[in-house]
Amino acid sequence: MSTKKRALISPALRAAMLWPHTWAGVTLGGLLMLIFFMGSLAVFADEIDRWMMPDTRVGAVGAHRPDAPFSLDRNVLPVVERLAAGRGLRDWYAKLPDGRRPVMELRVRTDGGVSGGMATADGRLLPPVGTLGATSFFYPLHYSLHLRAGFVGYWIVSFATVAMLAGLISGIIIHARIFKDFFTFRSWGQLRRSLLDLHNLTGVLVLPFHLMISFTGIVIILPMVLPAGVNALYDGDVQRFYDDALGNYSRPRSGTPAPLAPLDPMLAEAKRLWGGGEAAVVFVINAGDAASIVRLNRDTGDRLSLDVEPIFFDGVTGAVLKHQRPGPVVATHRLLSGLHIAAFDHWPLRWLYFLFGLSGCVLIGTGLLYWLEKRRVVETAVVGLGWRSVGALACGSITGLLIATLAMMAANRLLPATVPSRELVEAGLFFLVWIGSVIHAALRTRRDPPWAAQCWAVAALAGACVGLNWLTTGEHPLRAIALGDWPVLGVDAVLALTAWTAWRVARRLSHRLSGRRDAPAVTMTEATDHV
Amino acid sequence: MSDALAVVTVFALCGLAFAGLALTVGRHWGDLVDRRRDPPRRLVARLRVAAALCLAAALSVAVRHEGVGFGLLLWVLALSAAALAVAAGVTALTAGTATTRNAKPR
Repeated sequence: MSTKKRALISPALRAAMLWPHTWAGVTLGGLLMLIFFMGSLAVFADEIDRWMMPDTRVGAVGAHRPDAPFSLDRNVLPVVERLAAGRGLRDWYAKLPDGRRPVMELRVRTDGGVSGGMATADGRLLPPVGTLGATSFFYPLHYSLHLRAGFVGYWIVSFATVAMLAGLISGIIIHARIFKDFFTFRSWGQLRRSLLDLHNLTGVLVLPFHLMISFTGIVIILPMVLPAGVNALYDGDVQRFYDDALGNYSRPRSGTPAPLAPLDPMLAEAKRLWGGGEAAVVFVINAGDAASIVRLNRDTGDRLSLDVEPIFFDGVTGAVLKHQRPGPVVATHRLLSGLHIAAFDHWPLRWLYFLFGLSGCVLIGTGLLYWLEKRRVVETAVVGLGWRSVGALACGSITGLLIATLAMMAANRLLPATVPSRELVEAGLFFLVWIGSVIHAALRTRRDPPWAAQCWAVAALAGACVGLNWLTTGEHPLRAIALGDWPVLGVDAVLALTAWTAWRVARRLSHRLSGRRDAPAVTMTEATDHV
Repeated sequence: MSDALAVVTVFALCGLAFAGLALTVGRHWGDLVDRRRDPPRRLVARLRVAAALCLAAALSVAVRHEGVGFGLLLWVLALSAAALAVAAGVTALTAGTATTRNAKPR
């Protein structure tokens, strides 16, 4: 077998793959770390939202309890009226409560501007949450970097994702002993060998997930990344393309006022057309107009595909306007998108997505650390500007990113509700703290980036988050167990685990640094373990 | 079979399969079983067959219980998780032995 393999992958090919792998990793590693970390958090976005928005912890309200059936007309419409506050309604939508988000999320567009809010399932409007939370901050950071203008962020993320795919495949080619090292992680001995073992282990063993998640990540925004088809067939009219492809329906306002038909019969009809399944979102477009449209999206919790099967009703007569099943290509696209977004209601899979997302962070992080360590042992006397830059970048994107995230969560519990534009202050703090930690890393990186100091900061902040949640909401672990408030308990548990791990790491790093002996200098060839 | 039990079964079968496969790797056989000689050829073949059967059984449990889509996805991800767990186990069992610790890095 080995001779056959040697013929398949020659040393020359391996060497040719090495430099793009290294360069892509070193230059884009920080960005990929952000994408993978925020993507992992996005898996539990609803749970982190409950943690960050204590007012929405209204218990697991059975939104579809048989004894108190959820009514769009009785529970949702009054909240919409209150949000509109007498101004002329134009459009609105409400994300209906489900098992993970026990509250409705509404957005109302009126003649006097846009307003939004959250309400309990029985129609009680909650005070403003004052935070973007995970769904509106961490999650968009994952796919758009919050650079929405001209889709710049999407393009940068797509580029990094293609580099990730290339890195995965070139990494497999470079790795000489895939099967001999399949289960090998030598935690003892030389640090750089341990790092390379961990890099290979996460790269090879979690390869199916990493390939899938990188590929489907690009597929989601395929019409944007490869717009040639839409340009040729629809003259670049993306709206018309989506109307056709996804079975959307739109028509302009007529200007003639007309009352809205009852929504509950439409809900019942939609459930019949879906053949079971619950509604997830209700949209009313051109509200109060003769040309009003009611759109109902299906909940995709019970399927892999992200096919929301939208059904469009005439808002005045209540008749079905459009219910179109997707064609084969669109169905495939929805399935691949669903595989990426993991909106399905499946806890073991959700945890696997979270852990494997983090394993992607380990893969990228150990790659960066291996690069640093290898050069450090070679050039024991002097480490140059390039080394120090990569060191600072690695530190800023590994511990710095954690510090920024935890600082935002701590600020979420500390900032009073009266702070103007509270949600923007929180988001601003995230970026300021992140920039601060990168600057700290850049200033303090001489022989080593300031790992220990930043690990202490991670431990302190994560511990503080657990404590602050207890102090500001009165919800400590025992009470969470008693109430069955698993989302908050889960977030607290992961925070506590982070604090404990970071504390252990920081302590070990401090010990190691104080008693460190310099290894004898070796040459670059001697330090090269992978070919 | 309950949901939790099915998921645990899938993980356990995958773990068993990879534990068997790990023993067929010369380095781990040497560290864990017998340093003096390589794993016997017949044992390696039997372990590989057993591993393949375990993986097939895990796939069948996953697909039967979760349906084709969810079952396949769960199985593929469980493969990675089980392999990582076996690697961690091998490391934990090997890290204590003094000979490995002193062995020269390759």
